[in-house]
Amino acid sequence: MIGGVDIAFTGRVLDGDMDVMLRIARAAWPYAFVETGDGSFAVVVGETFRMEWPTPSEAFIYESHAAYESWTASGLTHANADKMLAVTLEHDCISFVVNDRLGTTAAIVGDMMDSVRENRWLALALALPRAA
Amino acid sequence: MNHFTDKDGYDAIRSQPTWLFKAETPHSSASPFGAYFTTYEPTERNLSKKIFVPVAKLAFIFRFTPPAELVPIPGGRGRLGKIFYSPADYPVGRPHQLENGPTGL
Repeated sequence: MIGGVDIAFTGRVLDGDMDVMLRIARAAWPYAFVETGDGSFAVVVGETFRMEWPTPSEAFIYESHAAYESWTASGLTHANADKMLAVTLEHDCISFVVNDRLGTTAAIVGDMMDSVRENRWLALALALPRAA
Repeated sequence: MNHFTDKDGYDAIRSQPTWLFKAETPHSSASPFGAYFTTYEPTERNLSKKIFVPVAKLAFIFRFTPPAELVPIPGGRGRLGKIFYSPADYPVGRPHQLENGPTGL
């Protein structure tokens, strides 16, 4: 059996989208910890701000360093299930995986999508030519 | 195509000449009922995190060529061609069986 629920957020991905999402993660989880998909890089969320995330790229965002250690040692458990979300950036889609559509991580993903949507509108508005 | 499982699942599936992957209700009610498979290999870094399973569920692997169509799951991992499912029990006869055994994970 394979677990997790996939949530796809389509639309052209902007350079700042990941930064917006990481800031939402820290607002929800002050001690959030971030790991790249290949496990080569794992740091507290504050150290990832303004980092460049190429597309495609993949990351895991944890509630805390303890959640990171638990997932790394055991994979999914009853205790850590709602303490990690996965994010994949593509050119035209941001994909999330959470434990359950009704859990804490799904609510954080909802906030992330709202903020990214808002940021994209702002970026579009700032790029429009101004009326004379 | 790969199916990962634990020791109990491994013994049950390999006990029959035709491997039968049983459709089940997934942990999340938002996911479709079915038998689940992945194109991820055991060497994939952070595999348990990518498929949201306990590490113990990665202990054994069945590898096969799909004898019938499998459906990509809705969302990102299906879109990326990583996770598929069959909405009903999925039998894999000998001609399609490639290998099975412990993964070392």
